Amino acid sequence: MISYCPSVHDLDLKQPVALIRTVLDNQTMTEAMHKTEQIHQIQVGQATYILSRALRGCYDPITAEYTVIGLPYVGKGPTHQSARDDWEKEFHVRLQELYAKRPFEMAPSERNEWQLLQSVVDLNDLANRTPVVLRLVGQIIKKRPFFRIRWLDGRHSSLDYQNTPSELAGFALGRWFEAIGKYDPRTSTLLNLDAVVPIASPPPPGSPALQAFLESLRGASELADAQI
Amino acid sequence: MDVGQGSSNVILLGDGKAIVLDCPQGPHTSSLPTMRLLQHYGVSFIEVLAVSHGHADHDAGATDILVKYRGSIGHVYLLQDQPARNMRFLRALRQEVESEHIREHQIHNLQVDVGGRPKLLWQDKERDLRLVLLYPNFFRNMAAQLRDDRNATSAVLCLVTPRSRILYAGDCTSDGWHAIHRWYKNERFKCTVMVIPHHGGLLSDDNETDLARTFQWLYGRCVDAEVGIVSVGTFNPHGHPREAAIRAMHDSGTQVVCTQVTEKCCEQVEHLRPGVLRPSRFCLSSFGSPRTGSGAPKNIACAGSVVIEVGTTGCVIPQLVAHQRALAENPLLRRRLCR
Repeated sequence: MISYCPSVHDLDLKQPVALIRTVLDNQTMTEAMHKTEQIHQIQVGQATYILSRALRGCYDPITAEYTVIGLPYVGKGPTHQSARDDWEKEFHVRLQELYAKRPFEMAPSERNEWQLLQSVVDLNDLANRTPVVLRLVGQIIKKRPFFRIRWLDGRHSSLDYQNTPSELAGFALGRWFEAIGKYDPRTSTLLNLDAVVPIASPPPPGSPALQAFLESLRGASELADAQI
Repeated sequence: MDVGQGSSNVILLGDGKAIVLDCPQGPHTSSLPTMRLLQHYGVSFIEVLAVSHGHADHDAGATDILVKYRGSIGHVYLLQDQPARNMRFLRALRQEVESEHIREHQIHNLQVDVGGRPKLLWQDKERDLRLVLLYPNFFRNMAAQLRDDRNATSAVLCLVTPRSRILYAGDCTSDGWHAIHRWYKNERFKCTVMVIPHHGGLLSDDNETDLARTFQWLYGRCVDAEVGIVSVGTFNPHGHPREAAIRAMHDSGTQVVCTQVTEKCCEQVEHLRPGVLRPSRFCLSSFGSPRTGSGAPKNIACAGSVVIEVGTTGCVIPQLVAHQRALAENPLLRRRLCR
């Protein structure tokens, strides 16, 4: 911090008011460079982490590091913003790495780190905002005023045009297609279709071909005996 | 898994692999907790997808797995317990075969030979893990198809590890248990954990008196389970779990864990929302709408999705102690069902 203060020899002691102003200006500048801020949420890419308590982050221009009190991660960058971005990416990577692990898969150090993250991030909120992505096979049974789709397993969904790719409108009624769909994890409703591709029709129910297919399947008798 | 009034079991094998036994879909149940769990843990390959029988509360969500894990499924096992025209999962399966996403040789019809040994469905030699088919046999299966009753038979599978056995009973009937009992020379089949058949409900057409006797025989003489997991929904119109089933398990020393609390266990279930134990993010009771269309409460966790950690020294169920303590301490829960 001292390195940012002008030397006393550089100051004109005959002008005390100027001295005070200079010192104050340097203090303001130093505070600005050591910018401390409260963090309430962290956003990286498509992920938004709502924090269960506010964190305090600080950029040190001397070391070019961004740190957050209570968390072990360090972001590096020549500016406050770039260092904070770097810190957020490290936070995101570590959280996602640990989030996908079961407790017994974690090393002791990871378990401590996970406990720390759990105390900071509202994980229920995160889980409830992460859509479940499914690959789907279905058939259009109605096109206006909204799409009505019957899926292969017999379920039905209704979707507005704004939640479907535009190609879907070009598919004929009764057309079978494959899609990537996102479901709301809280309500189990289909939110939107990301991509659609037309496919050949599956066999109709009750078809003799279905019986023939069933009979063609191998029985468990062909499997090895089990010792139990 | 806490999937409401249905059944789904996931065996996470590590390295992005898993086994899925049953996956439901319906008005009181959902495949979503299972799909969410698989997505969360980065499962990219399903070693085995097995469906115990063709009832929607066990098989309707399996189509989701079939389609989502297209080209990434090792083996599919299904049970022909009804005419082909009624088997929705079979239809989806044929579609996948025709599209060449899965080969016919990867699909098997679940039934053991009459008088034959249990069959090996999957094995991990390195870790000495085996998934074994115990039931049904060919004739029982044919008889079930003739009855055209989707609960007339069900596959019974067992995960065998070096120190434990986990029994997945599907909706196996009392006929099935007698067949298994005979095969094991009338000895009790010992297992660490048993996923209780038919959600603790009826096992046959027995009247109430015979029903109690059937359950006493099943849990007292046929199977010896340390922990019994009842996969049941808060709202279910079938009266699951049966009081006689829970009593029989208690009498035989089996610790009972239910995924959701029902009005049979507690008269004021709403007081327990979101659950006796706080449901994890893989529980239907932690999301979804809180009431049925008719206004009845649904999806209130008891233990929620039950985690069983299988190690070299045996099984550990982390929630078990907390669950049993919560039941003992909660004045709302009737002691007659949950002690």
